[in-house]
Amino acid sequence: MNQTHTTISPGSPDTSGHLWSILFNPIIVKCVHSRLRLKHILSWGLITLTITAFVCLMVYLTTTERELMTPPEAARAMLLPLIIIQGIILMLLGTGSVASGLAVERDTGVIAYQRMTPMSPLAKMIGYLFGLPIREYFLFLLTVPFVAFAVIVSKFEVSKLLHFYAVFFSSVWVYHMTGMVVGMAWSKPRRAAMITQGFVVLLYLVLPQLSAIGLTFFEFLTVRPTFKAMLLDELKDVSESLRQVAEQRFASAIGTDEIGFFNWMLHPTTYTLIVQGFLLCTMIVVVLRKWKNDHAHPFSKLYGLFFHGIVTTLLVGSVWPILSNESLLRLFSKQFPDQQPAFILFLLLMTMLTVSGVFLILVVHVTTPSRFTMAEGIRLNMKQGHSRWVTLTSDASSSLLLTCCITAITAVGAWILIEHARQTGVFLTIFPPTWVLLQPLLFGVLVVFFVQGIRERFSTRMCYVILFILWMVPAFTAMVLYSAKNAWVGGTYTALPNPFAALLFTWFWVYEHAGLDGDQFLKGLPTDFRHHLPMFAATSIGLYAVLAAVIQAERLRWHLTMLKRERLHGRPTAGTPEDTAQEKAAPQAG
Amino acid sequence: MIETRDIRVDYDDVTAVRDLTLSIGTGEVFGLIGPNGAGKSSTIRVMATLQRPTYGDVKIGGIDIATDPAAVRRMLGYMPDMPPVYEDITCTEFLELFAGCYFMNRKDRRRRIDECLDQVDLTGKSKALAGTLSRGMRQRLVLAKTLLHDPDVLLLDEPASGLDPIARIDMRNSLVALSHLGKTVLVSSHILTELSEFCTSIGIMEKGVLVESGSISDIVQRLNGHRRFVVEIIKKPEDSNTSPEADHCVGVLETIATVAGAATQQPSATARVLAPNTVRVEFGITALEDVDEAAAAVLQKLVTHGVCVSGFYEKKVGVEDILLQVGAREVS
Repeated sequence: MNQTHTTISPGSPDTSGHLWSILFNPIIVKCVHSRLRLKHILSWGLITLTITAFVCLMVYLTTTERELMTPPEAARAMLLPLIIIQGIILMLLGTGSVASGLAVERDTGVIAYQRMTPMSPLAKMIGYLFGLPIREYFLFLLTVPFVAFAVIVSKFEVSKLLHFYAVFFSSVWVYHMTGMVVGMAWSKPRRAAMITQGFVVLLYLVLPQLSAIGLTFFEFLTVRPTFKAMLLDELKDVSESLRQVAEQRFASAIGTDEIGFFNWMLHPTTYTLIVQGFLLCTMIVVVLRKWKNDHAHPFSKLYGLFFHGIVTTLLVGSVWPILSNESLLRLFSKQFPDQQPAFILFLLLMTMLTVSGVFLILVVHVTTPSRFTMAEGIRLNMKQGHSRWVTLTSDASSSLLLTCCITAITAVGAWILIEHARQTGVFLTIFPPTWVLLQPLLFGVLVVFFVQGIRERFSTRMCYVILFILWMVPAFTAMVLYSAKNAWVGGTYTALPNPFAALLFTWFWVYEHAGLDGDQFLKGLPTDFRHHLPMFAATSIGLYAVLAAVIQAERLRWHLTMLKRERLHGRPTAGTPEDTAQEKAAPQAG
Repeated sequence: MIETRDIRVDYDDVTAVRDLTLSIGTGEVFGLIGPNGAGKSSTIRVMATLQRPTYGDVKIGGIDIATDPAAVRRMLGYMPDMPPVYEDITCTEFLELFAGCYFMNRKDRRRRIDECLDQVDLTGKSKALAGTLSRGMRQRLVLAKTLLHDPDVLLLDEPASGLDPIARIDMRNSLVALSHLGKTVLVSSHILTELSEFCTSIGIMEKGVLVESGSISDIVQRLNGHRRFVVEIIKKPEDSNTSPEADHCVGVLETIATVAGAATQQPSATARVLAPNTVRVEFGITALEDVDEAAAAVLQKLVTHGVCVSGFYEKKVGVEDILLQVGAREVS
């Protein structure tokens, strides 16, 4: 310490403040310093240049020297491997850098310094979004000359390529925001990286598969539809294998030049940008909320409502054209060549309802306060002399009203589709009665209210334990009974606490009860099993009606008890021993 | 400068801070003392706008942190417990990052960074990667970052924890220098010697409750009700276990109306070797006013009654003594 130096003359603040912080973001400058040192540039750059050059020369020189292709064709053939390399660099490595970089900052605690600076959360988010993967952007730039060579030699239409890259970068930012959301939520770098990889696989590899059964919008989370629309037709002429890929992978129901959304036909790029823009907005909302308050829920209740409304609209809008348009139906039915239209309709509705149910549970999960958050909200309100009921939009308020609203949105969405199918008559000439169709919907609603109840009544860990015991243990037991004892009826009754199994059997019952099967789909099932289908449906609904009622009553009882104790003592309700022991790790006080 | 009212911080069903009300004036150096888990860090994190309290108000420089946290942040310098650094950038780059984040003018930035590095004696390490610095240097680097935008209020959470003795002395010197700059400083620690030398006032936390606060002398007065004095008397060397001189002195003191709690101090092993002929008697003066005059009268009476006084002084009460007294009380 220099004791003689006691005067401090700080620099005057930069008047261009926030704009400066976005354009010349100090976080990006810091990342340039830390991730783009000469040793990094040399080592990573050498690896990238070597691999890219190797792949390009293998494609270009091999085909031209052996006179398998003309130089323009060979240059055009280079584009696909180049795009794959660029995808690996930006989407895989870049996403990992964002997730692990942010998780490291949270783990070490340096993020607290950033939280305290007067930069706006948006400027900080932009800094991390473009700063953490700065090395990957540099490596991407190293591949650009190869792309330029391919484009010049092949005389590829530049506008198409730029069109493709617009969607490519939109996808990259969606991926990077996924990493950022995970990095903001999980502070352990290794766990954050693993969870990001899981999310990327789920969002961009697993969910897009649902497009094959009608939920086309999931496909547009990826760059594939635009790739198909803008590049594949150009590229497949030069390669037999690419042509096969195009036919096998992309000639599905969505493989048209335009995509149906309700009664509109949209260009794949437009649709991709809409879907990715929505996902990007959602992630930005989550990150900004987490910047402002680390303990805040990822969604506010209002955004949860908006999010579910948009998801339901996208789901209904994706299925709608298939129900309206016979040519689309025929195209779609090609994937199920041996099935009747009735089966396809029920497959569509069941998929839509199941996916919607998963989103319902997700929204309920992220917007429902823990018992402790609720207690804090009540304390704050009582301290401020307000009503003892917390404001409905607050994180600390019960999510019951939101659950009712989003459940209603799902029900309305499903009902719109059913009515649409009934009116167009594309699938069915005789439609099952309304009360029969309501059964699966009712079951779904009961499951959601049960989940909401246990989420609010118990701690997070306890909630997971209950769901595991109730959902997974019966499913595993049923599988053992099916395989070891061939006990179809007993096994199915055992599996009914699992909502996915119960929903499936409820649909079976609807399917058979409506007389739609024509001994096609269910004929392979044992006769006594088919006799029990009505009981399966009734038992599922009855079981979850009882569970939902009990847990909601218990939740209300606990809530009232807590209010009473807070009013009397100003102290939190004593939790049960298991609640106190298993809570999420609280920061160490002091 | 810092005002808190009824702050409560809950971590699920654990209450870390319970209804804490505190007021720290401009230029004051306030030491927040308490054992680990007392709620010091939570209190500081709330003041630093890093954590929302369950309820309660905090005002820094008259601005409520809930209504305008950005304005408050410009006034604050916060140094966390075990402060981390970006390990892969140099000290200068580290400070440049935060100079940019605080919108400091580009022209002045370089000069200001040099000033702060000089302030914490790290000029020679400006080009070194932060990850290569020793623990004490890292803490000084973070202190430089904390001072960079010249905040009016410094919140320092356990600034010397985990440091070796030499680094601890360096850090203490840094803090002493800061206290001379006229800044309002709130510093927390569970190591009492860090604070006693330069804190103008202290607060003692235990189990989330602020059990005492104020200047050290005020707290002593409140806890003991009187100031304490020590009289050193000469005894015969052969009387190693008993001391009739000390008994005589205590007897004289007990006859004086303004004296309370006179007792012989047991000599430490060092004292036995270094001053074998000296014995100490401690007592309190209960007079509400003119304590010094009363003390002079006591000294005169001791001399008059033949007590061989070799020393007479007021006992310095340290933070340790206060904490021991406060810690003995049950926190309800």
